[in-house]
Amino acid sequence: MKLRYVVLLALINFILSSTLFQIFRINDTLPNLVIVFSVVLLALTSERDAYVFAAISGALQDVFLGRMLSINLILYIAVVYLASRLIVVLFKGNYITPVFLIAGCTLFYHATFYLIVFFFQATVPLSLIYHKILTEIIYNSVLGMLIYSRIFKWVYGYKLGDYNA
Amino acid sequence: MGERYKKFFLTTAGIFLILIMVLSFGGRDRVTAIESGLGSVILPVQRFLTGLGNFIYDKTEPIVNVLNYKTLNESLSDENAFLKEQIVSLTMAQKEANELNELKSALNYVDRSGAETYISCSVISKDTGNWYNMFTIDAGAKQGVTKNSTVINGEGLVGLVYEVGEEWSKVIAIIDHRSSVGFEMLRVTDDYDGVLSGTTNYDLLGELYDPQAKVSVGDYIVTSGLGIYPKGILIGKIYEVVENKDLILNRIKVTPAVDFKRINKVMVIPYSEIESESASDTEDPFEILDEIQEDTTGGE
Repeated sequence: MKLRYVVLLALINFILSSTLFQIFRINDTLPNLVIVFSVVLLALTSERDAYVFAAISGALQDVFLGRMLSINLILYIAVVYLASRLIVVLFKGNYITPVFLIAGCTLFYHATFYLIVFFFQATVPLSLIYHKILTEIIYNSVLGMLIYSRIFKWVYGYKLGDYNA
Repeated sequence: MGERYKKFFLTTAGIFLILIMVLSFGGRDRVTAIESGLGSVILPVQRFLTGLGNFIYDKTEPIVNVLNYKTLNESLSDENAFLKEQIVSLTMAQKEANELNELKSALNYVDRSGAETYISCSVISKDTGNWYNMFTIDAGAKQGVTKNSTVINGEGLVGLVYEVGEEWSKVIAIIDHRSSVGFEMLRVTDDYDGVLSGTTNYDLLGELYDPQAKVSVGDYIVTSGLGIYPKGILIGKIYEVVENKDLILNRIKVTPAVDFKRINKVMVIPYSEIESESASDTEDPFEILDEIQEDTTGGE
């Protein structure tokens, strides 16, 4: 995938997530499309695309809607790094793979985010946030599986989970 | 060698980013020119898309919430009855205020509290994460917005300006867990003070300074003027008084007056103005006393 398309995808994703997609909040929770697209790009295009997408998306989020600079940038890069270590041992043509990766990465993102903001004394008690984290994990996994299956078919030319292809 | 160079680069970049994180925590007075410029470029697109999102939400919300209308109707009827009682007491207070105004003009009292300059603007984007409640507005340093400016709308207190760009600003909503607002009861007597903080779930949790304070469900609360926010801005209504003998201070749960899910147009009260106003207020009493004495002796 050309670099300019990755940059454009990050920009469009940020603009839409911060504006129009706000109406799709479920249980006051918005899906984290940065994690979803990072995992999809990593699995189906290239590692470089995933890192570039994650870094630009994290930077945009930090600059325009973040409490401190570079926290999301670091975390999204760490998410891609974690997913890149896991993907080498996973079978990409399986429905479980995107669900497992996206759910794991979302959980990792929140756990690390909690740890970092804890040291800045800017944390939110888990009792107030856990239902949002759980909703986000489910929301991300469902959306991720749909997006992953569509792009999988586009890239490989056959349906995800079609073992006879 | 290549691997060692890569590791060195990643470590240096990591340390640099953590340093930026530490330095930028708490918000900056002004963002850099690059950030400001980028914000100005995407601002029209965000404004249009947020407008479109609000339009869709307004059209679909009645369908989604149709089952809640019975409860809403009942609570509005109760509130209506309560407000009728309030009208009577406020009319009495209004009469008293008119008499005091007449007295003020008789004494040639100089009114020091000039009209505040509000900056009207729109919310252009909302937080994409689920931890904090931040949003951006389409007014910045160019329009006169400064860090720590108060953000309100027609319903009440919205939040505080966190960082300022050239044509946009970042705002922390009062429902954010880290926000802190000094409040007092909207009452003629028993003027209890306290502090409120957000819970991230569209409501507020407050503590009253007076352990003997008597508050009840349905009481309205306003800003006390202690801290950054100016005095007298409506915050919300108490919906639960937490009675726990283990707690030293009384706790209350408050529903904000502002509907944060539908927030669109807001107004900003620049911080420096409030500061200078409160500074002038501290000098006033002696001058005013002198003026009154001069006037009354002059009158004799």
